[in-house]
Amino acid sequence: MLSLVTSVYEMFLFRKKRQLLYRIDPRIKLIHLILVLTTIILTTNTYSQILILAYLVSLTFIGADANRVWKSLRSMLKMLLLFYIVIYVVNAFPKLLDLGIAFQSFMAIFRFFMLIYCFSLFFTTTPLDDLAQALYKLKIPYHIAFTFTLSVRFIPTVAKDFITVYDAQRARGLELEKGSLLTRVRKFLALLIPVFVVSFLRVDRVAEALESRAFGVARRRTFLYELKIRPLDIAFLTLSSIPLLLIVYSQYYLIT
Amino acid sequence: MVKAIEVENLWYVYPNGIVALRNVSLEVNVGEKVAIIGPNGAGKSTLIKHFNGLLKPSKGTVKVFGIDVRKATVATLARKVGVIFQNPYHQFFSESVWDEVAFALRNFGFPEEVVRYRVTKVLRLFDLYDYADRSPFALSSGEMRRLAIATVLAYDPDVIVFDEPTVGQDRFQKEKIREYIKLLSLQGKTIVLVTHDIDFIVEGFDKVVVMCKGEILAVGKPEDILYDEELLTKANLIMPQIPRLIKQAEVYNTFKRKPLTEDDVVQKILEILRR
Amino acid sequence: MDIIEVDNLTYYYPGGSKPALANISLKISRGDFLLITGPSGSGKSTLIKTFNGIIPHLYGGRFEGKVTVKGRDTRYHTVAELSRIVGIVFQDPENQILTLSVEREIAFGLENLGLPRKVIKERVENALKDLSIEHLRDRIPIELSVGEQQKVVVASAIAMMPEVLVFDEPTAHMDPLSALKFLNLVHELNEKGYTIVIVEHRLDMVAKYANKMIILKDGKIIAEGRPRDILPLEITEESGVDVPRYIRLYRKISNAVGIKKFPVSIEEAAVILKEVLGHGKSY
Repeated sequence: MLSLVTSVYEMFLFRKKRQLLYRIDPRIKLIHLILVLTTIILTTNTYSQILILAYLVSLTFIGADANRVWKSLRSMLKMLLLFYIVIYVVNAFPKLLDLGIAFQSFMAIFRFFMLIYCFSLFFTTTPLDDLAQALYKLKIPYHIAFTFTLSVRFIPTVAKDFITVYDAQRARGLELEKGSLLTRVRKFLALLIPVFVVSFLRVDRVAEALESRAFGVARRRTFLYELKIRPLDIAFLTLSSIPLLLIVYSQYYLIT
Repeated sequence: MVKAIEVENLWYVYPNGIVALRNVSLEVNVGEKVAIIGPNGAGKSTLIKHFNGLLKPSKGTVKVFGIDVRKATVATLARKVGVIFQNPYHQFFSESVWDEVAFALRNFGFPEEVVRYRVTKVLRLFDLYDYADRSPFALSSGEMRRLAIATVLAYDPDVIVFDEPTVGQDRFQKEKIREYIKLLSLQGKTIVLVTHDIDFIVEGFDKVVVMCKGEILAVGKPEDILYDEELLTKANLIMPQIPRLIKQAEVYNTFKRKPLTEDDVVQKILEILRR
Repeated sequence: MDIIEVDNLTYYYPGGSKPALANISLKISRGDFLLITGPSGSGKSTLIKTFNGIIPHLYGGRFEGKVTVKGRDTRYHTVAELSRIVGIVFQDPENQILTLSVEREIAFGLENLGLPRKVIKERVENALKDLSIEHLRDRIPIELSVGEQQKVVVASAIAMMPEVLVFDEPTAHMDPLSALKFLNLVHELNEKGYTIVIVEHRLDMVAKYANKMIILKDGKIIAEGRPRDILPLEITEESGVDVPRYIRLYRKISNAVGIKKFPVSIEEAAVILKEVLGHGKSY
């Protein structure tokens, strides 16, 4: 489970690269993301799904660091497999084997996978700080937008705390695997409480740091890297909408 | 004679591929007081986590009183090796000081009368008996530290490991820690102390182990290790205050036994003055 | 000219029955290197936080007396304003790093102040250069070592262009070699013109840089003066301060060997030792 947290976190970590998507304004990428999601929602037949996947894969090769994207997606596969089994069993019950349902469940997971893929593409190519700025420029108060960035920033810190607490309590003989469900839940408190306490203690320190850096003071906040929509962004949005529109069109007008 | 801890050609690799320990070999005899020093990231904490089974070797063996840690559970090993962690906040969660001390004992399956006896004894020993019903979070920082040590001593492990006990401590608190170590040693406990506080280990230890970048660079007596400037520099450490002073003053040869504390130097000075 | 003046300050945390600080009076001049030390819980961190207004503005509580920063009474000026005069570096860099890139971390305070982009860019470059961390520009701060992280925090403070830099036990989580290097850096900043206030326990490493020193105990100043004069005192030893061993050494033999001038660094202590052991006569 820890590796899942790590990989989700890794997805949010931005590392500067040269490919196309890294250079597109986050607001444009946000609109693009919405367009892709809409395309996924509006299309239901198998061919469309394959086309959308092909679109995403091409976009990955042209515009992003393919290896990083594959890595973060690969780590989700186990979880997706689990979901697939659950959905299949729930829908097939009481039958054991139903190919129709097996296929349908697969499509459901496939669409979910593409959802994750889009988000992954977005987050690996967009610095969170830029996203906060994008939201701010879309009239969302900065301290709300910043909350997300700050939370992600503290994921590894809290994860480290959790591991430290886990080690400390195991060193005192705590065995989570043993006992009834009820006792195991109570044992889990021995892990949760210290993590909460340590996190709450941190709050004061972080508040001091924020205050000392004049957080929330200026009416109009400025940015080291100011977001600007350039011709490149418009071109990207226009050109990338075309295949998406075609896919939706094919769903409704061509393939009957 | 079975050794308290036997580490043989230990390698440890984290899941993400980082090699934390390279071919580490170490012996700790029963009743010994060993200090493991090294800079941040040397692998000291990684090493001691093998002693109670929190980590299992990637390669090589670690034996605690003859038991291979690969073949034992953490709970079994923790019974023999008590680790006192740096930050008490990483372990406190009970409603009362009493329950906090009883936690480990109950985990190890001690009958309730024994728990009662041991908790009372250790609370009295650490001057915390009057706080038995209080929340551990209501204690002062010094009291919390005492409580953290008390929770480990309650179940009487044979080996006590201190993980960076002096970080953020003032002089009085450090002296208290030194006293506890002396007390435990007198009771026959084996002590392992991990630190980068080079001045803390100038007295009270039989053996000093120098670690850096996952390797053991040297093992030896304090007076030899702490005067080996080349070794310490290689390990990203500095000499303790008195050896630094002796070296700076270039009076090393005046001393028969290498001085580690100011009292050693005072003795010599008084000796010379008497002549 | 006094850049910080503390006038009979007594402070109670909200709900506190005992004062965290009691009748503190202190003058810090421009260019000073003030060392503050004392046992745990003596009020050192509390005092530090009054220098940029975090106390009383963030914590509330009962604040009696006055703290003036460059002529401004801290009760009537915001933390944001005071942070442009006094920059504070706290103990644990993990709690002070707020972003996911070193560059943006340094820019953070300036962005909050709404400064023009060109100014921000310039100040970030200067801060990176002053601390020799240009090579860390694109790194993720939490992936750095503690020493590097603290440098990033210092750079972030310097970018606000304060006149005073305050450090609250900055080397607490560092190993001795990193601490030595860091304290040397603080000394260099002092030489560059920053007024320095530092709370530290590693007196053997930092006392030689300070021109002023105070010892706090139970919220009161129990000693004040030059490190050379303060360190050998009985009251210093009794307060639980981590007196350098060479000071303890010479205190113990000061009866047998007259010490006129107590050393304030290992180098000075070594000179005295050579004499004492070589000639064995009164120094």
